[in-house]
Amino acid sequence: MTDALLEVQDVSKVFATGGTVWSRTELTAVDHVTLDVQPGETLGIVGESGSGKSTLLRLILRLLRPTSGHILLEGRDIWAMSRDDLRYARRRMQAVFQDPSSSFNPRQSIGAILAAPLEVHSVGTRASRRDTVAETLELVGLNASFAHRHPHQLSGGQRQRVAIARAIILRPQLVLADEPTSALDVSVQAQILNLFKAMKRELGLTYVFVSHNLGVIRYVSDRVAVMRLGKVVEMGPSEEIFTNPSHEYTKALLDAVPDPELAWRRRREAAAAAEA
Amino acid sequence: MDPVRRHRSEAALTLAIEDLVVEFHSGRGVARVVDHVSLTVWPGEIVGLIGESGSGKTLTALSVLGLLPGNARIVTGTIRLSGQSLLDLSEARRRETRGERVAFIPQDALRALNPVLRVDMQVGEPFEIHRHTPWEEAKRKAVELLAAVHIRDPAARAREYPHQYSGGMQQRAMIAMGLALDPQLLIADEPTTALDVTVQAQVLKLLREIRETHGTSILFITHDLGIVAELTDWVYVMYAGAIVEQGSVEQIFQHPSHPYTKALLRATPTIHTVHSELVSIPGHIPLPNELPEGCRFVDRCPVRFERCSEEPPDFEVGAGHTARCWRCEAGP
Repeated sequence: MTDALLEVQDVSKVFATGGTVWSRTELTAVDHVTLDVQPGETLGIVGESGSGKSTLLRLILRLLRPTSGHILLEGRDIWAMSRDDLRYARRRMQAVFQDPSSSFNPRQSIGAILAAPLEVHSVGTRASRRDTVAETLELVGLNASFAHRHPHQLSGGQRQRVAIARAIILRPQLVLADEPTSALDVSVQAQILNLFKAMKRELGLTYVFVSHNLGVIRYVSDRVAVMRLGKVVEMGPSEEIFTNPSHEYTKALLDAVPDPELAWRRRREAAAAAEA
Repeated sequence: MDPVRRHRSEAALTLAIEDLVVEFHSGRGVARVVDHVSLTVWPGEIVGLIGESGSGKTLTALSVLGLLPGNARIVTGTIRLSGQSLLDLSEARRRETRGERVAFIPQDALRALNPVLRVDMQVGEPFEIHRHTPWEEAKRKAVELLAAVHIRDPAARAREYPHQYSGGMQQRAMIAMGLALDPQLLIADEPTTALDVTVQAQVLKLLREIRETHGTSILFITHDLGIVAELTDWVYVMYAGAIVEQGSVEQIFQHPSHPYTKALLRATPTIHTVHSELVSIPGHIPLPNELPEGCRFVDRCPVRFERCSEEPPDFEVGAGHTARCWRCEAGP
């Protein structure tokens, strides 16, 4: 009945953290989370450390198996797929992580790194793959000559562009991003956020975008899910979450963010009050 | 000018850095990482030093502390702490100033704390080292300090090890240690970057409180414009080794004058405004050995013109507010 691209249905993930056979200690990292992602939208997931946002992303990527609940990609459970279907699903779903330097092989050239997904999925010929790599590099704002460089020769922003190129080279539908700009300087972060937006427009991508930075989440998201201690405490259109939050925790979170303009207004009012 | 800076004589300055130049010497040549930086901190003032990575902000701070890495050298400049020139002091005298007169709060508290010593031993250590206080009393004072930075149940928590503390508590313990000998100046280098926003808000509140109760001056190093707006009285904007703009927090946010400051403000996504497109700054910060001719921001600047191939001086754009840009030559 639904056209959701991704559905997370009552998913929990419990980690055993130690204890003995008789008294196990457990940590519920994701606690009965239900959400869906419509084609073409960006769902932002925001939360503090330990909120379970990254675990949720790893569950969606099928890097972790849920303790309970189901995750459906285009209506089909990612844990009940045949090998071939899974292969196809993995083409449709790609990821960008916080620190690209740790997800690149330092001994491979950028060209080889970008060609790898094409090879794994047997897309094109050797020559056509080289063309695809060059085109994709241009698409993310890098010169095609970058294919001959190695990761350590790139700046942080350039590396993240390559990570985005790798994610989109198979033309997926869904891109999952985990804190993709957290390691970048403000001036470079803006470039990368704009690139994410441009790629979405040009390729019709759908994003699940995880960040602890509320400003970033507001900038990229159509809808926002606020997580705390494994639960989604509030979910709704971005505009509403940020201008009219209903959950106490969301309010506290928004209050805590040092926002230039707001801080500013607050200080002026305090000064005026002190004078009066 | 900002009320804090008005009606003050230069003699009262807590910190005065003048014309500081720091260089790294290596086999590949000389890299000038701090380039003629001048900066002042007045008593009871919170000064923000804002810049991105590679701007030289941390090295400026380490110069004050006398903790520059071995291959860095101060080429010229003076650093005065309450009128006393620090660079003329012997290393032994220099060590006496650290902790006693100026304290440092680093970004990563867990790495700065000793993992095998209980917290009270570490927070109490300045008393033992500088005042030769007996250990029992030093530890008692450590408990008082932990209480002052709002650690709950301080007597019990003082007996714990750093790894048993949360990130926010570790940073509080570092602040407690810094406050131990009631220094005139706290230098905080991105102390909240690793913390969650709600915890960050508590730590910022604590720093404000310390300024109110102890009159401590704080030099706060950060890349976060939001924190600068929230916490500081006076702001220095650093780019590629030089201070390109300085002014009161009002001036910087209401009338940003240097194109870099303006760009930073527009490149930061905030929670209270909807941006259709962030204005990004093309390129990246140049390395010290690849600085362009003339203005160091020229390659990335949206409003550059012929004049920019020549290095601009500081132009006054408001009372005490200066910007190092030829576009400001004609005034604000």
